[in-house]
Amino acid sequence: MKFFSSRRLVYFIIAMIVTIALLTGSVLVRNRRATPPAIQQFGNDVAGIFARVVDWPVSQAHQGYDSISQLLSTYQENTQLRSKVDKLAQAQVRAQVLENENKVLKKQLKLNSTLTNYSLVNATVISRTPSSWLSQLVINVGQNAGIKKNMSVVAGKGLIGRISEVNKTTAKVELLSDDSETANRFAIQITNSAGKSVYGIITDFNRNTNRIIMGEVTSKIKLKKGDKVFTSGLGGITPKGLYVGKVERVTNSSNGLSKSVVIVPATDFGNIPVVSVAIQK
Amino acid sequence: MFGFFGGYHTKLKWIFPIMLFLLLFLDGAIYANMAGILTKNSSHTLPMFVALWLIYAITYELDEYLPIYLWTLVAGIIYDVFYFGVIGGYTVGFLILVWVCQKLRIYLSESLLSVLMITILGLTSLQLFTYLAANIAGLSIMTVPMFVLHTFTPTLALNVVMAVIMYVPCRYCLLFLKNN
Repeated sequence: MKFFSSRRLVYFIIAMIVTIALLTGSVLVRNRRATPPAIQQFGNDVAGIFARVVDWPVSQAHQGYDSISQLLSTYQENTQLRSKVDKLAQAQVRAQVLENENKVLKKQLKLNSTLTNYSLVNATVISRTPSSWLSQLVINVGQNAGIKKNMSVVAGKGLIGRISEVNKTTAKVELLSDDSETANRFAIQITNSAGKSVYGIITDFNRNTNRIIMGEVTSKIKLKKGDKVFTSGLGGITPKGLYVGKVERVTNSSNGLSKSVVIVPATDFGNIPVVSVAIQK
Repeated sequence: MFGFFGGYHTKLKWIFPIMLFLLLFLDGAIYANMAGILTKNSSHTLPMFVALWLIYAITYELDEYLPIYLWTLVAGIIYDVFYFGVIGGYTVGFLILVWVCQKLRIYLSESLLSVLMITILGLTSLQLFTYLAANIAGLSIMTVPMFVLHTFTPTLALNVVMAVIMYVPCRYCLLFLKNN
């Protein structure tokens, strides 16, 4: 018997056309609209409630496991951290003084909004896309908390990605570790110990080594290992001063015209229980 | 409606979809909480409990008493909308999985090894389709060797192990539902 009888072939072709239309159509909608269609939003919000219920026991178990494993290394950590705490208190006081001074100076200059003006909205991760090409987190805040598409998201020590979809009570965060073209184009700057800055954008993420790449750098400014990388606020959507990571090394590109900076990300993309969304004022 | 209230196999008709949707959200919850282990060494090991549940349901011929394609379609749409925001990959992928398993069932029995065989072939077809779908949608820029090495193989390994662990409870649960 032939596998494709003429009727089967017709069904097969129709199914294929419908599938491709669905895929390309929904990608177009996702890229163009600020929010998904109302019915999709409604479905997402209802699913979000169930996801929260299912996530609760799993995250409790995870936290229990985590706290036990952390307990084993507590003593070692404690001795290391104690020395850091003293330094931190000093830095905190200094930061407070500088912040106040900054506020006063801004007022004098009549600068009402600068690139560093943002507030953070905290959110819990309720789910994660089980997929290898779309690393998305589902978080438990949405339009109700003032979240909008493309806002930057930080977790742990630094930047992790941006909002890719907003519903009423849930939102999706596309991680920086996705090497698709839309996920990780952030405007960043690196300031070296002499106080000089190199500006650029994140052009790539190396999955094998778990490193952020800032490519196409033509600046002659010398960068060292350990120089801090943060968002530059250029481009308007991302606020300035979100910590991204540290410089690991600078490599020459194959054509010799530009350099690439290899950056160690500040956050471990594998373990993100809570995130904060940066809302620009 | 669909024999939900009264009649033969009423329990099955309730419990099957409830488990299906529970496992649907469990996939994401486990991946969110265990991502540290599951995404180690640049690999992506995906838990696929929904797929396993569907495979078991078909192996034990529950599709004779259930509108299985309807439930699969609904689960697939929720999977795509809630996790991806792009509809198509798993909506069609799960339907293909069910279809493949139904075709394979004729040649295989209900023993553990047969279930594993169906699991391997079913998950292979599902994963290949989703990879293809991601390429059509322009989401994936992974090369085929990267995909096979870092996603396909670890996912298959994890889920075959899960299938073995789930064999005894699933067998009891599904046979009980089938006979009640």
